[in-house]
Amino acid sequence: MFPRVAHRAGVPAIAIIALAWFLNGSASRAQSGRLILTPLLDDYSAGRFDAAMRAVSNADDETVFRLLADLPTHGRRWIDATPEDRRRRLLVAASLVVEVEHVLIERGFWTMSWSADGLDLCELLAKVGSDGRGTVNQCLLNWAYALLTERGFGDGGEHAWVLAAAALIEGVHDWRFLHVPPGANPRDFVVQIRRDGLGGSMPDRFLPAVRGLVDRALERFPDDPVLKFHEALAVASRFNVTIEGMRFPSDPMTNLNLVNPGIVRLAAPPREDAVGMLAALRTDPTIGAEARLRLGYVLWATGNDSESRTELEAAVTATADPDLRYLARFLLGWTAMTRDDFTEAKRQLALALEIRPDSQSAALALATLHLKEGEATRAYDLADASFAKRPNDDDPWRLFLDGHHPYLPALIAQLRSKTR
Amino acid sequence: MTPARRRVTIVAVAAGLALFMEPRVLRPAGPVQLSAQQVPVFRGGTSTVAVAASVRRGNNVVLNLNAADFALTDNGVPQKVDAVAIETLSIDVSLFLDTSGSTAGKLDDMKADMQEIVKLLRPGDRIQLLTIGDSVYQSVPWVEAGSKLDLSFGAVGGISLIHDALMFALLHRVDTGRRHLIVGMTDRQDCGSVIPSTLLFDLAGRSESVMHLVDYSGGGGRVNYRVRQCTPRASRTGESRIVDAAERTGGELHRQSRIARAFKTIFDDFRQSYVLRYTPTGVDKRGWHPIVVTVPGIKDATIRARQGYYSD
Repeated sequence: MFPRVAHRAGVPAIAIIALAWFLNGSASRAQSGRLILTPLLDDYSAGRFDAAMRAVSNADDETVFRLLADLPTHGRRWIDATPEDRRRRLLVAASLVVEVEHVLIERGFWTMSWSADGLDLCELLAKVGSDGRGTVNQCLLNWAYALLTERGFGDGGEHAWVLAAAALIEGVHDWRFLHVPPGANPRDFVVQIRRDGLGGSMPDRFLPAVRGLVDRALERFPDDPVLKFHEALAVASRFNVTIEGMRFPSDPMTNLNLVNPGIVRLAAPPREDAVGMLAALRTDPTIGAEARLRLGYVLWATGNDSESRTELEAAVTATADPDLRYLARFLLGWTAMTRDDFTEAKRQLALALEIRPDSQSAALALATLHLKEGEATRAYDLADASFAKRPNDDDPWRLFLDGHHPYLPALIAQLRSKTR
Repeated sequence: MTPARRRVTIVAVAAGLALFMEPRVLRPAGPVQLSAQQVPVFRGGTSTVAVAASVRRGNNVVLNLNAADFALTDNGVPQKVDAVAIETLSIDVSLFLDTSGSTAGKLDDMKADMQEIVKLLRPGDRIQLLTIGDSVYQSVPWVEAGSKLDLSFGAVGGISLIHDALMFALLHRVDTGRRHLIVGMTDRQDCGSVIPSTLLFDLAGRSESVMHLVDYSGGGGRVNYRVRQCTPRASRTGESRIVDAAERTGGELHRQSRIARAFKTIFDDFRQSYVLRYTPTGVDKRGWHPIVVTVPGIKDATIRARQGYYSD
């Protein structure tokens, strides 16, 4: 095929095609709408990560799904082909799964599965059609994690994989996939609330109890504070509220009517679990400051203003990370705003902007309060500066509900380094 | 024919006759030029209040009214309207396109319509485009009429910063001699905003701008955006409160499937609105001042005007 094309196009075309071939640097490119798994794994394994992922990114949806369908069979053969390199290849294959899932998620493919019997579902991959796509995400990640457990003891590579996978899932807010409380009754797990014809809400689907991804990781890294944090985050994130300053009046278990179609809500565990899990991490040198920050938010969301302020203030002083300090100050200001304490709100929001000047969330909130109090010029200046100086800002508050998803690029880079 | 349908027909016929019989209706305006001192500026707490008002009879704009045609009360107290002017001022337009996941299927339409909208502006007018994703973006910073727009925006699922975008629009500094029109094309389903709808409603009563909304959603189709859940979405109360905020400024909710067509309707109406200026007399109450504008001489007139202002 290649010589024939070159012959027709002439010498300049040969050079261009050859250059493109060279720049692509990959044997794993899509050919006739099909990605070939083995050369893709070879590329990834050899450290040609960008080339491998560029081939995936350039492929259409159906091609990527066919690639995934090949993994349990052809991928397994590739892993077993070199026994002396098998341990590393298990990590390579699992890492590729995370990266391909990342591509799919950015394209909008992630749905809550109607079953969570992970490995068995992978048997369905060969039959995957458009209706089956939703199950692919979860079962492939479960399959990938099973590969890692085949490697025996947990190591840095497995740890890096779990952190990347957790951050990926936190971006889609599928907290159930990360954590399931022990001893849960399968019928307690309500997902996919839909509206009934009378305007009410009905539980649409139920999940069987299965250990969450982070739960399983914690069985292999039982004392790891970062994994404990992700478990706590999965529990605490069910109390995320950002609309109208609304809080949960009681445990969300009793408030399913707050949930609109498509919103996933676990029946358990109670908020005390979220508070307890985060509180236990407060003094951890690695993750303590963020644990305090998240704890402060959960305490506010569940009505405990005084303790919330204590934790948020403590978070400010517990870290030098400007984003975490900004978030703590912003939350102190925003929660003050929701209780109409505008003086305190303005003070805290101004402090937030000292840490991260012109950041949109604090700038907008502070500008609004200035306008409300008749200080129009200051309000306009704040709004103008925010657009002018941070036009494409990754404002930490805008990403707060996505857990560690904002760190995904760095976590994937870390994971890649472990596959070498 | 139902009574309601019959009434509409009668009104339409009356409006048609008026085209020939009533010199003040549907004629090209002989605009009253405003001097710098007369520039209408609505500022809560200042001694002079200016209120934008549009007057319609049926579907037709009523033109060539003068001060004596209007009646205005402030806190229920009749006021002497000092000036009436058909607008000849340059206009700042803040256009907000809801580019959340719920409108993702219409992105191409949005971009095409934006180019049409710019053509509707007159020399001296300016426009900015606000869109939303993980933040509120000024996708097109303030540009003059006739500018070629470089449009590049996508849709982001899960988060929908509608309150925040509209608040940014309200936070525009309106230069002397200009007026500010906000048009928000949105399904009004906020998720994740810093600004609650209560505060948006409050601030709408303190702004100099007129805000219209166009019910705009759906479009179907899947686009490449991250799948995310928003927990929980805004309440229906929040959606209706956004409309309340628009009405407070003298705007309203429109239902129109094409952005450019909706914008033309709003923009033409805004162009032909009046500015009523008065110095509040007999009212010294601080806080919210409700304003009621009527045109006693035209019984079936529909008047849309700011609902009041704050005096601090």
